[in-house]
Amino acid sequence: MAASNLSLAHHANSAYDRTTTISITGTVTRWQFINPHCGIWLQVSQEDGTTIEWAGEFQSVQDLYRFFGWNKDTFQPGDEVTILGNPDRRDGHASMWVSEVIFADGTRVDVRNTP
Amino acid sequence: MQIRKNNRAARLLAAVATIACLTVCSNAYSQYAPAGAPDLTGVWQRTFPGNSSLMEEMPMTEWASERFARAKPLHGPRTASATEANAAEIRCLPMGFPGYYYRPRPFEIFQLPDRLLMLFEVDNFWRVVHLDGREFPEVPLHTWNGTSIGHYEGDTLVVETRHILGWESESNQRWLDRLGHPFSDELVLTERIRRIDDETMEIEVTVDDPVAYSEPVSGTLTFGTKSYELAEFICNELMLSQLPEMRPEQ
Repeated sequence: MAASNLSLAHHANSAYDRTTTISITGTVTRWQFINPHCGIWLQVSQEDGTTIEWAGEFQSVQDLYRFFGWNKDTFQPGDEVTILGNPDRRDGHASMWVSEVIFADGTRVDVRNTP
Repeated sequence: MQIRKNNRAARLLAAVATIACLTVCSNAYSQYAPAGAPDLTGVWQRTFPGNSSLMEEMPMTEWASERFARAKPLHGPRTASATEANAAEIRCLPMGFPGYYYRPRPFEIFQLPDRLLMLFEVDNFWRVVHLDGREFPEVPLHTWNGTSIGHYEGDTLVVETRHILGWESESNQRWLDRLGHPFSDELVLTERIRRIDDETMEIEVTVDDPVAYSEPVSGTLTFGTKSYELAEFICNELMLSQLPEMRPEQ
């Protein structure tokens, strides 16, 4: 799979399978802290030794800042993180609507837990 | 020359007073509002479901039904993906009223002697409700959010809004909510706004739009106070997104 096909995610979550939660661990390559939705990209190693890029879509800047104190520096390239969320329904789209993040120190943040 | 200087000084003073008032007077609404008028100041956000409509069965005309069928919302039972949706919000275009209220975003109300201001976090948008007794302009200027004129009736602020740009085309959808119920240029929106208790505000909305609805449509929207301050929200950052499917086809 080419990386250019992978960083696809939807504004609305209809593209994501809300009945399934998956977990992906990888190395941060990009963190896009913008409205209306934020995005993260991870380089993920596969069993055959190759790597693919996964994309994760979050809610807005205001939600992530207001309720979790996140900002444009929350993730740096090279950080190891795990993201959990609902996968894209379509074949060949390595992306998810993120529900939870596990940082390298074990801290877990349930990003859907907003008032 | 001296007069001109004095005028400039007076204008400057008025501007400073207005700015000072925006920050200081917001809690002193009562000195401007008639006795018994509601204190609506504060930060508010909807407590009703965002994927709802004013009425469960909207009495749509044929004009509206046809356009409703062509709507591709981002929310509700007919949710489309971002690349397929034609909701105004996916293009960061204004939603008008009452559409804005359905966003899960706070807005702040300031009450001044001659107007009430609503500052919306989403899109960094502001709305003015004129309270100075003016009439709607004889020659209407249709705009994204229309012209709003209000007056107090006891514990209620009554606001009438006209001249909101209505449904235009497949790519320029104008809805009452996030589900795709269209409105026309003829929309007359009446809001009866009152404070229910320390933490709750209620807006009774009536939509009179004979082009789109065979009878007036009414519903009550409730809002809760929020402790946080508004922040900058530039929706157009969407155009910078490297998540390509966050934005519609160009």
